[in-house]
Amino acid sequence: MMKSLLTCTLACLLLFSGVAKAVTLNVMTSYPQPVVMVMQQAFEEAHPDIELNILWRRPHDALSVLLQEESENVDVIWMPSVRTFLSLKAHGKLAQFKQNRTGLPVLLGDTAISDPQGYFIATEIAGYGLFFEPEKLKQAGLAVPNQWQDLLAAEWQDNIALPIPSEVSFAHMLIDQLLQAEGWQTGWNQWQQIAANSHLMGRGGMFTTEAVLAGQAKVAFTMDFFAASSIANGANGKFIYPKQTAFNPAHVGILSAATQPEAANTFVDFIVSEQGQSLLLHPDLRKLPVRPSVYSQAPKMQNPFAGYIRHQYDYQTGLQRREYNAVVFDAAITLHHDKLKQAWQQWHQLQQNADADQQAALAEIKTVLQQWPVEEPAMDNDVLQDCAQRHDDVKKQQNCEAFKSELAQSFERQYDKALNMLAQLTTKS
Amino acid sequence: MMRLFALIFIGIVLSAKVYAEDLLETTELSRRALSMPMPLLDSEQKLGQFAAGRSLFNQMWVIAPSSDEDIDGLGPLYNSISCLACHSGNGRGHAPDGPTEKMRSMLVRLSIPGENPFHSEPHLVYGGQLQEFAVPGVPAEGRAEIHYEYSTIALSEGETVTLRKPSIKLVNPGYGEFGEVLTSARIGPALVGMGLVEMIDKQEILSWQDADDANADGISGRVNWIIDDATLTRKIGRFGYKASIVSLNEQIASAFQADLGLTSALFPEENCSDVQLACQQAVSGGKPELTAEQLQAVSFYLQFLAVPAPRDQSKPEVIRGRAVFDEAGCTACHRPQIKTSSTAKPAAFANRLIAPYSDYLLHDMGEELSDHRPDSGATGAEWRTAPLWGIGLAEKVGDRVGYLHDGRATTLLEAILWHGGEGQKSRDGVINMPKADRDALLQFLKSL
Repeated sequence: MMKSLLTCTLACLLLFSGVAKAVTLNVMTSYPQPVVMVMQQAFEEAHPDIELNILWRRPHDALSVLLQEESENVDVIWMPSVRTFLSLKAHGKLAQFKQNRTGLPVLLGDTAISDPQGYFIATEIAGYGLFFEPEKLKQAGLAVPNQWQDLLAAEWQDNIALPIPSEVSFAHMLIDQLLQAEGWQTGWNQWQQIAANSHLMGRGGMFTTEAVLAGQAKVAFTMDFFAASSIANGANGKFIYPKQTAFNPAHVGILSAATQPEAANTFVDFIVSEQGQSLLLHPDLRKLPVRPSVYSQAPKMQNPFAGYIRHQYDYQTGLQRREYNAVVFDAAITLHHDKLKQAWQQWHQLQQNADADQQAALAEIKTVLQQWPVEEPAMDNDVLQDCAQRHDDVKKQQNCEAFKSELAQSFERQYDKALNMLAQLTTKS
Repeated sequence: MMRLFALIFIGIVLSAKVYAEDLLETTELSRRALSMPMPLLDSEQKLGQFAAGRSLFNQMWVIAPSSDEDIDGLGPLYNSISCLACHSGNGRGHAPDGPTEKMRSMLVRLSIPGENPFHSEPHLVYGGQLQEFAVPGVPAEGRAEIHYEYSTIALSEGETVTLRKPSIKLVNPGYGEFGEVLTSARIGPALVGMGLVEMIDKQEILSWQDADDANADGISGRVNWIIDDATLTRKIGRFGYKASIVSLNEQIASAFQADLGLTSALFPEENCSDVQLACQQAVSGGKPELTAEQLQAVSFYLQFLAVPAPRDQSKPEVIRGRAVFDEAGCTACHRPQIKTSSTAKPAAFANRLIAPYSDYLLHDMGEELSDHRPDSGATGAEWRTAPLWGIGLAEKVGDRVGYLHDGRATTLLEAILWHGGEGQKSRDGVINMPKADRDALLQFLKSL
C-alpha cells in the first residue's frame, strides 16, 4: 500500500512537473503571424513537453542581435534569409545537424538549397512569377506572358506592378535573377523597359497582387506564396512562373550556443517532417514544401523539384550585390521614373508609323536610353562593399550615396538627351 | 398625385439605402470576408492608408532594442506578438479545449475582490490582466489553465446539446502567489464595423434604455456611462465586452498597451505594476512606442473594414429564421437596425441605417454567464449585447472559433443556450420551439 502510494505520488509529481515545466525553446523568426501560428500550434500539440517562445525580428536585425557577444538566448533560427544563415555560419554561430534527411533534396536544379556541411537546412522555397486576373487580361487584349521579356512590349504600358528593391525586400532577388540569366547590361536594359511600363510599388503595406485586384495594374511581379494564398483566400487571380525564374529557400538552423539542443532538434525534425511540410499547404501559407512527397497532397501546386521550371541562380553573387543593385535601380529607374516612362512611351508611339529615316533616329535614341554607365562589379569592388555595409558605417554610407548621386545624374542627363531627341523627331514628323 | 410623390420618395429612399450598402458593405464570402476595405475608399486609400494600417495590425512587434525602431517595444509583459494573433482574419478567437492547451487568442483579466458591485481594483502585483509572456530578463506573470465542467441539455424533439462551463486556474506565478483573485477570460472579438459603432446616434442607444424594466418585458438594458478623465464628462461606453470603452482609438491603444505591451500617447505607461521591478527597468522601445501616426493608421484600417452584407435573405428558411428571431424576443437586445449620427465623421458614415444586431447596452445575463468580477461599471453578470453582424462568417474566416466572451460555446446554438438573466425567456423559447424553427433561426444567424 505504502509502495503504491509512493509510486503514485512520484508519478503524479512527475506528471505535474511535466505539465508545469515544459521546456521553453527560444525560436527567432521573421515569418509573419499566419506561418508562426500554424506551425507553433501544430508543433506544440505534437510535442506538449516543448513550448515555443517566439522572438520576432527582421533578418538584418536578427543577424545583428545574434552576432553580438552577449546575444539573446536563442536556440533556433528559422526564416527566409539565405544571407542571415550564411553569415551566422561564417561567424561560427550555428551547430551542425545530425538529422536524418531521407526524402529531402539537397539540390534544386543545379543549386544547393541546404548547407552542404549541414549547418542549416531548407524548410520551404518560394519562386518568383507573375500574378494576373485572366479575364481582365483578356478584356484588355493582353496575352498571358510566359517570360519576363514579354513585358517589354508597348501594350503593357501602365499595366505592371513592379516592386522597388530598396523598399521591398523580396525584389532584390527578383532583379538579380534576370541579371544573372540575361547578363548585366541586357538584364538592366530589360528592367529599364519593364519599369517604363510599370507602376513602381514601394513600402507601405500593400502587396503587388493587390494592385492587380484593385485594378491599378494588369499584372504584378510577386512571389508564388503571396499569389497562392491570395487565391486560396478568394482572389480571382492566377499565378505563373515564367520560363526562367529563381527560387528562394527558407532555412532553419540551431545556434551553437543553444541551451535546449535536444528540443531544438525536435523542432527542426518537425518542420521538415511530412506533417510539418504539409502545414505549408494551409490557405494562409501556400508555401512550396521542400519534401517532394508532400506535393501529391496539392495537385494544383507546381513542384519545382520535378524540373519543369528553369531555375538557375547563384545565391552568393545575388547576396553580395543586392544593396549595390538596389542603389543602381534607384539611380537608373526610381529617381527618374517619370522621364523614363515618358521617353519610352514617346519612343513606342513614334515607332508605330516611322519611315526608314525615323527608324534610324529611333534606333539612335534607343541606344541613348539604353546606355549603361555601370559595369558589372567584381565582388571585391569598393563601392559594392560600401553599399553592402552602408547601414553599419557612416563613411561607407556616404561613399555609397555619392556613387548613387553621380550615377543618378548620369542617367538623368541620358534621359534628358533622349527626350530632347524625341522632341526634335516629333517636330520633324 | 400624392401617391406618385410617395412612390418617388420610396424610390429615392430605397436607392439611397442601396447606395449606402454599396459604400459600406462587402459581398466577399472567402476567408477574406471580414478583411475587405469599404467600397467608399478610393483605390489610393485602399492601397495606401488602409494597407498601411493592415500592415501594422498584422505586424509582429519586436523586443527593444532593435535596429527596426519603428516596430520595437513589445512587452516587457505581453499576451501576444501581433494583433492578428487574437483576431485571425479579423474574426473571433477561441478558447483552449482544456488545461494543457495554451490560450492562443484569449486572455484573462484580473482584479481583487471588493465591496463595489460595479468596479474592482486591479491585482496589486499582477495588475488588471495576466500577461503570459515577457521579454528576456523579465519573469512572465504565469499561465492560465482552463478547466471545463460538462453538462447536457435536452431540447424539443429529442435534440441534445453538450455545454462546457469553464473555470480558470492560474498557475506558475512569476511574482509570488496570486492569492485571492477575480478572473475573467476573454477571447479576441470580431472586428466588424467598429468605425460605424463609434458613430451610432447617442439618442438611439439611450432610447432603448430601460434600467428598471418599466415596460415589464424582462429586459432592462442600461448604458455603461464612462467618465472621460480629461473633460470629466460622461460618455456612452460602446466597445469591449463590458461596454467600458468610449472610442475606437482608445480601444486600439488599450489593447496595444495591455496585450502587446506597447505604449502610446493615450496609454503612456508600460504595463508593469509597482512591484514588478525588472519589468519597470526593461528597455523601452520609445516614448511612446506606438507613434500617433501608427495608431492613426491602425484606427483607419479598423474604421474602414467593410461590413459583410447579409446573405441568402430571400431563402425561405432564412426568412422563417428572421421571424423566429423576432418571435423569440431576441430583437429586444439584438436590435436589427440602428441609425448613425447626423454629424458622424467621415460624412459617409452619417445618417446610415446599419444592422449590427446590438443595442450597445449592458444586460444581466444571469448566473451561468457571470464571471463575478465587477468591471468598469458593469457587474459580473452584465455584458454588452454582442453584435451579430458578420457572425455567420466566423467559421469561414477562422480555422477555429468560439462564441460568447470566453469562447465556451463552440456553436451558435450553444451560445444561445448559455443565455440567462434577461435572455432566459428567449433561451427557453429556443429550447422548446420546434426543431425546424430552431434550425431556421440558426440559418438566419449564419446569413448575417
